[in-house]
Amino acid sequence: MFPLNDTESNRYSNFPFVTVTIIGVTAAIFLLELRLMQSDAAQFALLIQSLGVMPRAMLSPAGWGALSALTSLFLHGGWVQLLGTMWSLLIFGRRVEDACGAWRFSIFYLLCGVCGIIADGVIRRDSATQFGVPSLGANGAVAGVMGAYLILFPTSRIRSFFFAWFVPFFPTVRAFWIAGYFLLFNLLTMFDLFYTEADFFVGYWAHLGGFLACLSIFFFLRPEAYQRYFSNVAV
Amino acid sequence: MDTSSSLSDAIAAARAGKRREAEDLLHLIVKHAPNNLVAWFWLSEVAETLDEQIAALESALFIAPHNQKAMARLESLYAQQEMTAQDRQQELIKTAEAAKRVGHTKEAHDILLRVVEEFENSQTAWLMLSELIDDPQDQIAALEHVLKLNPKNTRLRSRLTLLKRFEGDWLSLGDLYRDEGHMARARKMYLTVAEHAKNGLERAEADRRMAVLYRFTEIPNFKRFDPTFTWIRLSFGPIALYSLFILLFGGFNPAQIPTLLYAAGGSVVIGSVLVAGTAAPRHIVWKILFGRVGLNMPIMRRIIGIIGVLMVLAPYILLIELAMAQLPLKLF
Repeated sequence: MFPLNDTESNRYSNFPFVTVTIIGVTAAIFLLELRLMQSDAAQFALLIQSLGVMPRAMLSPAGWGALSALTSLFLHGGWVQLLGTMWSLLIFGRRVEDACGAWRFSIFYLLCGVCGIIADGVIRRDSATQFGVPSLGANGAVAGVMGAYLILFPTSRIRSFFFAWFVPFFPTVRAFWIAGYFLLFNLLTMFDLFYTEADFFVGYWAHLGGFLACLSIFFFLRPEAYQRYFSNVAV
Repeated sequence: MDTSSSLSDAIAAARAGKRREAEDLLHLIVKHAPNNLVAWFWLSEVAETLDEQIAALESALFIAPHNQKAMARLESLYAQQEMTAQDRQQELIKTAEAAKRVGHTKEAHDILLRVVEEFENSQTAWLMLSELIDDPQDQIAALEHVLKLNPKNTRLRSRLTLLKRFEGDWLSLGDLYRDEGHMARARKMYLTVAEHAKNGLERAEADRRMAVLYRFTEIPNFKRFDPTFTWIRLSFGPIALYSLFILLFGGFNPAQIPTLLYAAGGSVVIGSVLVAGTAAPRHIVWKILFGRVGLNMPIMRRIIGIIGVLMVLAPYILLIELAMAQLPLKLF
């Protein structure tokens, strides 16, 4: 099942400027990545190792771990990762941004992203095979946005898409089913990886870190949305 | 015309209680003999209205300026006239008040307009009118009139100052009323702006704020939070994010974090407090600094917001610069 769009409208603002800007900037950076990869593969590898998050760099007092935590949020490892994260951001980010306001939403997005990166880096710090592989992508940030969406709009309807025997269906599904499925899938996979000690190339821990950081959404909600949430009315 | 016999007839008619007949005769006499002092005296006695009586006596005094009896009577008529005007004014104001009480504001407004037209110096009428007028520009004019009559009224002066402060930005005044809990006043202000909007954008903005007001009032048991709580709550984000970044910079070892980054943290704290403060414009701190309006003035709010954002962002520039110096790859 693939989420397509949020069927409900914004309450406070007309357009999700930050969400769209993040998607635009990330896509543009990805195109530059592709161009550099084709023209100078060695330079590209060095760039990814510098600006992607390396647990070793992050946990050492070298200093650039802080920079890579910021830059890696805008770098992606492939089309699938880029489309997956940005599509989810577009669907879930619009109304979270609406509830927070542009300025606070940007900080929330970065905070979730950094928390995801820290969770991922801390878990991978002793992994022998993963040391040379930098982690990239806004997975933690988007997971945080999804988590915030689940907190604020659990019963909102998300139009989804799936095939059953080659026939497309477009049902509207409650947000808690989609976000719950995402969380459960991540948790089960993480337990599996934890016990089997297998290698992995998906930032499951970043997802979980971002998801936990979403609890901080209450520090970012605009006053009216906050009042509505605690008055038990739709945010 | 034989004025002396006509005068005798008029006096006889007046004494017999035939006021109308006497008045007609006396009018004829003064028409033909305008200097007939006795005729003017008697006319002032039999004239129907107070104004006519006064006019007749004034004519008599014009002929005999030192006539003590005429002067004394004229003074008493003037006093009566004054009393009658006040009674009428009071009566009209009471009617307006009653109309206002039962919600017939249009009627109250029209009555008060009549009062101020007739009695230009009626403070009460001007004051009531200033409360009934929707257009804030007209409110200013009404209040200025009241203050001209009574310059010592400090309450009205502060109201006028408030209105003048928001002159041309009535939507913000509506916000102030809303924040102070005067929902009806705020609604009226937004409606006035929407009615007199110069363009579609202004009307849309007024409509949007009306919608916000509606959302505020539609919710039963709507929870309100202390502005201090809101301020603290919203200050948290940028501080938390910066703390994470400098922790990352020092490899999670606080001792490895350069002192400069700790010092720059002060800028983040002040900046985030300033930015968060713009979301609590009615906080006591803003009221102390900027008076009753607090931070409801959009220009002031924007300036403080921009200063706050710059103070939050500046330490990141320093952090990025320090981190880039450590990069194995020289990007620039």
